[in-house]
This record gives sequence, structure tokens and C-alpha cells, in this order.
Amino acid sequence: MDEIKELALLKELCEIDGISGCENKVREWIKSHLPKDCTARTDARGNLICEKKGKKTPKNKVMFATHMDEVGFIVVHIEDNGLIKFEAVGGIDTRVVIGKPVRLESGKEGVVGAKPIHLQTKEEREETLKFSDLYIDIGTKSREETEKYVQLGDYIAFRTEFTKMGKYICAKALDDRTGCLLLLKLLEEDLEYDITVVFTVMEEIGGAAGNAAFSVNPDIAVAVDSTTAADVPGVSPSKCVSALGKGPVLTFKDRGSFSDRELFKCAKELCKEKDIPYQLKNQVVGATDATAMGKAGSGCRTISMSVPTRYIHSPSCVFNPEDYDSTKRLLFAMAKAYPEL
Amino acid sequence: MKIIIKKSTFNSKDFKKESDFMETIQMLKMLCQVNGVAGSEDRALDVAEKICNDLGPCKRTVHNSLVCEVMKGEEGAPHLMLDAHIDEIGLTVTHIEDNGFLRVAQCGGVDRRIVMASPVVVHSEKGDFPGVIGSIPPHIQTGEKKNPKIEDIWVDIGMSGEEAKEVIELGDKISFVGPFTELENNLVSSKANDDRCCCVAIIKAAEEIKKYWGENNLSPISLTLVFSSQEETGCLGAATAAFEINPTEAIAVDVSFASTPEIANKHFGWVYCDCELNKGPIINIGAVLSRRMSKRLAEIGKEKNIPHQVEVMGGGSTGTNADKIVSAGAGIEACVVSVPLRYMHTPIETISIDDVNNAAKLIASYAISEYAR
Repeated sequence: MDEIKELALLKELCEIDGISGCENKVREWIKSHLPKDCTARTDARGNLICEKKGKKTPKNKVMFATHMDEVGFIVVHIEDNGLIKFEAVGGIDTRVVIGKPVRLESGKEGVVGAKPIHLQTKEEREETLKFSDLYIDIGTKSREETEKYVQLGDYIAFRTEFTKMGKYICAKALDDRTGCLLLLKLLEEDLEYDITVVFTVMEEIGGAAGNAAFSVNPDIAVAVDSTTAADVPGVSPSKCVSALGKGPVLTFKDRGSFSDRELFKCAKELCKEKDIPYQLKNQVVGATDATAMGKAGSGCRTISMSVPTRYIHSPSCVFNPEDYDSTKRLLFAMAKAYPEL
Repeated sequence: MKIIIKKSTFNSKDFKKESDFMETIQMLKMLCQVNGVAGSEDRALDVAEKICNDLGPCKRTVHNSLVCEVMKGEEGAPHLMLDAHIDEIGLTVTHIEDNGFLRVAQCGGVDRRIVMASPVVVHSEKGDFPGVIGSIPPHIQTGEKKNPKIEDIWVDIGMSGEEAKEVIELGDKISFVGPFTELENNLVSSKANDDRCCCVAIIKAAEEIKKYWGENNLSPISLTLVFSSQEETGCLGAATAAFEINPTEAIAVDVSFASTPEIANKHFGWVYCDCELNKGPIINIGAVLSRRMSKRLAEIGKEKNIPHQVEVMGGGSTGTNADKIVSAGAGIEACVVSVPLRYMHTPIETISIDDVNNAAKLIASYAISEYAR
């Protein structure tokens, strides 16, 4: 991964807060980085639909999608004592939330507090907390004071620094800003065939990619996403879903859809032909924008391809830049092969 | 290290207050953000020593506590020792897996509810290596979700086993990452506020006491600061330093519980939680502590109009260095002054700068009132 051209861009992308339903800052950033020779429009849901001409008109219209949103939180209540009650937006385990620094939509910084260990009972040390037990403290003493910085419905993001960690990167929102960067890089290419790239919204809460697929009306739709890598102690390789450093994760089935057999076969062949490492998702977990895209209008053929990521949906997602590189190679190969399939 | 006071916009009449605030916050930031996990306090001690060099000669004890002799009185003069522990809770490397994951044990009482996905830094002789705490992912767990046990977590540092074994050694310490964040109402959140905010309090108290003695040409008492090691793992640093210093009186300055909804106005058997942030330092009362000193502190607080609160620690111990200081050598008369703190033993420990300054003021006023002759 190019340190300056790509890693620096990924850092910028991850540092933007764009919780599902509030992706505008991510969208603006992407728009400002799009190459000049592609058209872009934002649909009613907020999806950013980009079209780029290639040298040839494809037999199959191909759409690539990746989501701009990240998991986070939303303010649901402000207590009289100034503390902020919140709920998760997207699937977040409360255990990764307690004791973490967060940032509110207004830019105000706060922390997620809980009872100190010294005062916990034996049972409390084991039990996990619910979101209804948690609150954000910004140091205010009253509702009025808090309301200067926070309104109901404001979004809240993790506040983790983008960190180089050995060979890997640790950051919030890697799911799916890596995908955003990959598709941005695809648009910068000198393309063989016309393609459509959609940066979608609200994937973490059910998705709006279906609406984009309805208007784009592709023959083939490819979801580029991030998936769990549980190549960690205590997890057998057969249950690890995917592993870092082994290349893009191809999905034959997840909780949302089956990948099209021909697209799946072709992706594997492309990897073999070009010597790109790849792996197959070995657990039927998670879902991507492919689900909604496949069902849009009269339907289209879909496939999901993901970048393996550890500790996904936490403030500290970890990924291997080598996987970005191999995913990029497969993505570029797909953009050449799928239009003529 | 000189404290750089940032220029900011404030009224000249507030000058003293504002600069005091800035000085405290800058000193605290420097102290909090360095590593000082129990048993590896060197870096935090280095910062403390640089600050204290202006106050008096410094030395390290056998167990790596920093002792600063602020004033030296004649033989028989009263000797006040102010203690704050320099160490913070953290983890230590116990095993390096062949695939590079580090297995760990705790240094001090680590809250297992907050460890998952926490960013950390591994400190080795070869450098500082960022990492993140991992545990069994939710999709693998069966049955009811529980908080991971320390033996079940690992630290991921993005290295292979070989690479990790090259740079990390067993016993290396791991600190939590907890950014220094300024919140509303002069509150700040950071890792290691337990007990670095109290290190700031004793430094500021010592500055004020020394200045008062100088300005008034008083016959010196002995005043010694102790930045004690290994409090979180059993108070070894303070116990041995207290024996060596053998003061006539000691004040252990530590943090105590500031109210949050789960604990406010609740009785936990050994402590009743009703102290709050921004209401001043806490004067502790406890069986092993000197009632005379606690009473005097409260009287002086009232006299000098320094906001303060009282907290009783039931049972035979206080959970602070004072427990070990009182029993050092032939015994030492000691009490505890606490800075209220929210979210103890997490990377977001939250305190009030005003409480730190008032703790310093209360301690200094106590010393002046008791000993200025």
C-alpha cells in the first residue's frame, strides 16, 4: 500500500465521522477526490452514484458498491444531570464501548463511563452491560448545559487514533472506508469498460444500496466490504470466517444472499490466473449491500468481496495493508472480466 | 522541565486563577500521558523529577520511588511527608504465542469490563509498540455473553511470533491508551489520572509551602515529597519510602470515588458515595488514619474557605498508601486527602482541575497553619 498516496488517504477517510444516516462528510470528501472524468450524482437516499466511461461499451452493465457509513451511536435522551443516554447505530457489542473516548456530532468530546471496578459486585464483574446502562459524560452538570453541545438525534463516533500497529493498521471505521478507497482508486484507472461505482449509505442498518441498484439497473453488482477476521487465539481455523494477509475474502453465501455461481467461479479463476491470494469466507455470517442490490427492480447477479478485518465494529478495527493490495488487484481484474462474462 | 504557560484571553484580575489553572493542566498532561505501569514507573518518574528539580534535591529509593527533599529542618524539627503514587494500572506480558499474540497478566486491578478493543502500548527496551486488546469474537461465543477473563484476552501488535519475540520480552509492561481530553467545567479525562493528578497536587502544595517559608523567613521544617511506586500492586514504594524518610506526619494523597448515577448516594459497605467533582478535595476519615489531622484539615478548610468534602472509609483499611505508611518503622501519624475521580481504573479517568488546585491549597494551608513559626 502506497504510504503517501493511499495510507494517508485512508487515514483521512477513517478520521471522518460518518455514522449510518449521517454520511455527508464522507460523501463530500469522496466527491472532492473523484477524478475529473467521471460523473457523480447523489440520489434521494444519499448514495453517491458515479459513472465512468471506459474504452468499450460492456456487454453486462457492472456496478460496484461500497458503503460510506460506519457503526456508531445516536443520542436518545439527555438526563437532568447533564449525562447523555445513547443507543447503538449498527451492531455494536457494549463490551467494546465502556471506558472509551467518543466524539459527538458537534465535535464535542466525551467519554463513556460506568461504575468503577472497586464498587462492582462479583456478579457485576461478569455481567455485560446494556446500552440502557451506559451514558456519555462531557463534564456538564445539567441538561441545559449539555444542550449547548448536543441535541437529541445527534450522532456519536468512536474517537480512536489511526495507528500503525506492526504490519497492520488499527483504526475506527476501517469497515468500510477501505472499500471507499478501493473504489476511488478503481475510478482513477484507465478503464477498459464503462462502470458504475456507488458509495452507499446506511449499510450498517439495513442499507440503501437497493435504491441505487434500482436506478442504475445493472446486470452484475459487486459489493466491496469488510468482513470479520477471527484468526485469533481460541478460534479454530474452520470458524475464523477469514484471516489477515490471505487476500480478499470471496463469499459464496452469507446471512443475506448467495453469490452468483458464475461470478464466484470467475473471481477464483482471476485470482489463480493473476496469482492473487484469496480466501473463501468459511462461516455464514454477516451480510453486505449485495443482498439489497440483488433484489432491486427485476434483480441482478451479485457477489460480495471483502477485506478481512479483525475486531470489526469496534473502536479498534485492525487490517493488513497487503490485503488491500490484493483486493485491489482482484477488483481491477473484475472490472475487466465481468463486463464480458 | 519548565512549564510553558500558554497565552490565552482572560481578564487581568483573573490572572492568578487562570495561570494556576493552565499550569496545573499542563503539568497534569505531561505526567498522565507517559507510561508508569506499576513496576515500570521510570518514565513518569523522569517527568516528575524534571518538575521537582526546582523544588529540591531528588533521589530514587530501592524500590524506585522518587523522593524530593523540599525543605530540610534542623534535628528535631517537624517533618511532613506528602505522598502520591506515580504508578498506574496496566498489564504485563506473560507469554508470546507462536502467531505473535501476547498473553498478559494484570498489574493492579484492571476492569475486565473495559478491556475489549482497548488500544494499548507495549513498552519494551526496543521501543513502544502500539497494540489492541482482543478477545474471543461474539460469533464464536456460546451461551450468555460475559466479560472476558484476563487469561482469555490477548494483545495484538500486528507482528508474527518471530517478529514479536525479537522486540518484546516477557515482563514488558503494557499501558492503556487514554487521550487527555478537556471536558466542560474544568474537568479533564485521561488514563493515569489515578494518581498523577495527586502528584500534581503535592507538587503544587510543596511550591506554595516553600514559597511561604521563604517569604516569611521562617525556621524551616522538613518537607519531603514521595512519588511512590507500586501502589496499585500493594503499596511497596510508599511503605519502604516512609520507613526511610521517617517523617513525623504524612499525608497520602490519592483519588476517591466521585459520584456517577450508579453509585451516587449509595452505601457500599466500606464507603458511602456522596462526594462529587468540583466540590473540592476529600478529607478521609478511617480507623487507621489520624483523626487529629483529618479534623485539623477540615477546620483549616473551613477557616480558609477552601471547598472540601468528607468521606469515611469503613473497615480497617483505606485502600491507599496510608495503610502502609502508618505502620512503617515505629509507626507514623498519617491521613488521606483525596481528589474525587470518576471512572476509576479505566482509560477515561475524569477529575476536576479545580479540585486538584484546592487539594494543593488545603494541604499547603494545613502545613502553614500547623508549622509556620
